[in-house]
Amino acid sequence: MVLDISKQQFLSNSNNKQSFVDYVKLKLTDIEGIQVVSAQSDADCLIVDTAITALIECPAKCVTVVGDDTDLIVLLLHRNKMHVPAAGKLYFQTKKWSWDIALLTHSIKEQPFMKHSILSLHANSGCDTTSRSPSFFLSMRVMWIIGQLSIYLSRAVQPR
Amino acid sequence: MDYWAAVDIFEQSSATKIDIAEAGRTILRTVYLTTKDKREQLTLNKMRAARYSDKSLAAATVVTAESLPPTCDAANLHALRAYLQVQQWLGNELDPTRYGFVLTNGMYMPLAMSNQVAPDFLLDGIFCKCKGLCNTNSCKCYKAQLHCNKNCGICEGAICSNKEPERVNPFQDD
Repeated sequence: MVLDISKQQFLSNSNNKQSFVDYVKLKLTDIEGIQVVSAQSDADCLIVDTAITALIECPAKCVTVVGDDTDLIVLLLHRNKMHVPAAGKLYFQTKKWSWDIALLTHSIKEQPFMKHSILSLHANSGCDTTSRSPSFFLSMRVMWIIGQLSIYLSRAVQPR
Repeated sequence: MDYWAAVDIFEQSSATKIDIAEAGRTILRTVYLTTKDKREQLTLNKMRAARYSDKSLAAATVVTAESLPPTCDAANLHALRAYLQVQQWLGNELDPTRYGFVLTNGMYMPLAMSNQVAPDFLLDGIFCKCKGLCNTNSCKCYKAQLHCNKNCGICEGAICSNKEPERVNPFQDD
């Protein structure tokens, strides 16, 4: 069957989204060498935890987290604040860019937001749309908080 | 409260809602602050009013709500949601309905505000005389994006589909 509606429209229905995820999971589980983990609620934590577990279990290999979500990189930076992985071990990759988490952590570790709570700043900036009400926080000024972070992210960026 | 101290509150699992709200307001004040506000030690509400008068004096265009700082009330609720998110990331599951969300039709929706949108004497002037369900723009209350109230001629804010939902204030359940 061919769908004549857009992807966004199709996935905006939570039932559609769930059955799509289930379908992808079913198809991927059959392929050898792929391990599928599905989250019950917020997936971001699970993604980051899975990446870090993989890094600890196979120290010889390098791990890349692929995603277009700012939450993911913020969480990665937070989780790696104490135990920074070796350079070239943990990467975060979006459609356009890729970061080496070790180099990134190193380049921003002197910033006040790293010494305090990067999570708190990210949540307060309303970047995560689930906790932002529609008419609230569309202003560019609010991005000032996270803007500081973004500047440092873009400095540490490596084009793919 | 110091800005970075306020930022740190969000990672403390034992923070009270009052502390969280104050921390959230401090962060938002810092973001929207101008040098003049700083000198006069304005609250968020006063800053909103000041920004509104600045903007409406500067140009004869409609001042959009999202270009203004949030009200204290909205900022408190936003702070609770931010706290909920940070705690969730830290692995501490809290009940969303106690932290600025309401459960509607099986979905968690953010609670925009807990106060009234305007003082009573202004709201009292808006009422309808609809015979129907008050769910089209022909209903004055619906058109103004307000709920029907006791002054409405026929529905009296009780029987139509536009009646006021139960008012929730997450700060009162502790």
